[in-house]
Amino acid sequence: MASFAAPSDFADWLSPMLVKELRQGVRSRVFMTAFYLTQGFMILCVIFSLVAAGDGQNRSAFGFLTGLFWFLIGVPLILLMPLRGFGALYGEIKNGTLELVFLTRLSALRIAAGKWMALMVQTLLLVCSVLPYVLLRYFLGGVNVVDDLQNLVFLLFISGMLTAVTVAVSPYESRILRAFFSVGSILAVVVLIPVVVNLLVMSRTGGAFRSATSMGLVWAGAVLFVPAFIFLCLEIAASRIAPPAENHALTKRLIGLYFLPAAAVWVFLGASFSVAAGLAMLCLAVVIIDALAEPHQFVRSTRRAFLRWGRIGQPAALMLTPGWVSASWFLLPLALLGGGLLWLQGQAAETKEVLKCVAFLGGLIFPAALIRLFAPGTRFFLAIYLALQFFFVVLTVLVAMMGSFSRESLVLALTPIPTCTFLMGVFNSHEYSQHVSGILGVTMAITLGSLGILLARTITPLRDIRRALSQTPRQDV
Amino acid sequence: MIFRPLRQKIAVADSIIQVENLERDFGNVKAVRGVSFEIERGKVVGFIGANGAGKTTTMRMMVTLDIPTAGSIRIDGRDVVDEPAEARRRVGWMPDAYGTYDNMTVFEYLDFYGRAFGYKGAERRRRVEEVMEFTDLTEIADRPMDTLSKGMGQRLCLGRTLIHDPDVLVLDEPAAGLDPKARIEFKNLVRLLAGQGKTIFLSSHILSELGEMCDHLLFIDGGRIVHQGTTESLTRDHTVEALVEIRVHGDPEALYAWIARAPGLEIADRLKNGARVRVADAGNECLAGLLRTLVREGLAVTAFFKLERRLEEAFVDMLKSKPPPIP
Repeated sequence: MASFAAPSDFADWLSPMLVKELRQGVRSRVFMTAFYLTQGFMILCVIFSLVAAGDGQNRSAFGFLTGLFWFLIGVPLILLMPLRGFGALYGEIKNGTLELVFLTRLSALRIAAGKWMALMVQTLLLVCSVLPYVLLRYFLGGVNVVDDLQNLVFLLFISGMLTAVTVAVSPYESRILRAFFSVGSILAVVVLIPVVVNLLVMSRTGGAFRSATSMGLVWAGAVLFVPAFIFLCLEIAASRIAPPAENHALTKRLIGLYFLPAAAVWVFLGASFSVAAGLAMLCLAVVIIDALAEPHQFVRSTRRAFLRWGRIGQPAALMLTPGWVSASWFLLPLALLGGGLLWLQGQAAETKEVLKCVAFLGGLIFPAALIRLFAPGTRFFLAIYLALQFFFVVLTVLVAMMGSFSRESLVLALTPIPTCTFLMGVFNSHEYSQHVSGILGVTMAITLGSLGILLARTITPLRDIRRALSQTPRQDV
Repeated sequence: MIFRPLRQKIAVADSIIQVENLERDFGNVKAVRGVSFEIERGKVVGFIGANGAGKTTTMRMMVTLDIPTAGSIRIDGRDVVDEPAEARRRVGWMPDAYGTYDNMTVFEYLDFYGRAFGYKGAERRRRVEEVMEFTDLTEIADRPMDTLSKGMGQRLCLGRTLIHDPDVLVLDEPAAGLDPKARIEFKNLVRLLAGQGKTIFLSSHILSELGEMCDHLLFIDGGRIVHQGTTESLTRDHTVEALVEIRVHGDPEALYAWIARAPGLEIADRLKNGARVRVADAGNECLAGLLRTLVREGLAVTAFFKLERRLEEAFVDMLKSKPPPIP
């Protein structure tokens, strides 16, 4: 018998998916290339800094080199590593290997989390590899090493969120959607890298995040939102690959509800209402779009789990089982909670803030209602939905760019589209402020109408579920 | 008898797979329609059907990768929809095409699945080594899996299927694309597994091989089970005529002329020194009478034997003779 000495390179307690991904990932060309290039650029950057230091610490040259330093770290951390997330689950789906993993004890969430974790560990390896250069810069003078390390942690947080987003969209097989997500992500990151680098340089030279209070608030916001957002993204990825009997809608929607009190807590700690509400809305938009785009499929076992909850089981099953049907009903408690918190924050009296919130909800459900009304059986819900939203955004931008002659009438003409109303509100359009009560009335009517259409469309599937349940033996349900 | 119609509710002592009125629709396409069967523990069952007959769809539902539109499947008493995790622990699935991982060796692949099935430390290493030894992969344990031949890949895939020691193996076209040597090796592995008491449910297009390997056969066509039984029962039940090969010394023209005159005989194939002849009555007495007549007629018969019908031919005959599908 041939003998084989089995290596014991990874501990047993590590996630199987993490071990597999690390074994593959650190040998991959992308990681090796990113690693070598980062090292090479770091060395060059330090040499240039040495030369600049020798020239008597020219401030503009030093500022440029600081920017270059963070840019060179930012590209692999914010661009290269997160972009690898696009292929995380898609590659497995395409190869037909994902199904085999499902037949093990690994749940869909553990698979998605393992993929994300492995990418983050590789990102961490890159971060660790640049630490010596951070310290070297300290010896050149004019560098606060604590600030630099803090900046690295922030970059890691951003990288973690972006990687989670790319892992979340990685199960989509549609070429149109993948192209849309890829272009969108690259554009977002291309915009993000200079913004982040600028903020990091500003933090070094006395910018926005210098005060201890504002830094504390940023950390509080990061703690309140980043882990929940990453978890949400991983749940979205898991729900796209999970067998139908696994219910991920419950967790995703509960995380969605969490973002509202999280924003309230952040405001309580001293954050601005607009920033906190904006962040919560961004996260909630992901939850709502994902929920409304979920295909409806009745699976007895997911419903049975709720019926064990007693009296609240029935309404919980109506709102927290997978699919757009229950997602439509989930919008009711979400709107109630949002409205309640708005009232508690004392913002309910502010018509403009109420309008923003109503337009936000309406903006998300209006295109969904249009699709359910005119193309109820479509398999391309998400693609059509995103196309409609993109169209509305372009429309708003075009109107915003127009001369003052026809702008007011155009702004008012766009009022029936809540997405446009929301964007006008966010960017404080002058015309928008003048007619805020009237616009609120129209937006409220459109939002309620859209919700009504969505709920009306759930009647037939709910009747089918009731029929299926009545045909199933009681003990089975 | 392995397969029992469930509606009769016969007490089955040790039935490990129970499929009842299984249906699967993809939009307007009905891929599986009312499939029911039961399989006893420890049997090797072949699942035969043309492309698009519903084999893979049925198998995927059996291993919890798809959900039936109607009906139920129980693996060792566990419903695959309601208790998918329990069912999965009892099933090993080998798809017709398995994907490879980049930058991963044979050992690492099996080790990953060992970890994923919850095996720890020494126990995992022992399981992986056992599987590698059983599938003869030990010598290539360090080889990257994307450099393996098709035969090695299939053995690795079978090894992965066995890593959690399931009671039921569901193998979809396991021998497809293998060369003759790899095919024989694979057949031997299946025999060994059957000897260990595993219940094996496998599909294939190579019907003759299934005939050799399986205790029983299930035939599916248009999403319906059209026949179930042994190889013998299929070749026997659906035989409409026999084929006899007759060889003579010298010029076979006299033989051809005689066959053309004889009632109930027809030349199926002209050979260099004889012919394959379709015989309407394939009874032993008739065949003996035919041979006697040939000799009496002065034909120098050097060989006379009945050709056994191949499983493929019986299958084709069966499909031809089956009643039209119910709309």
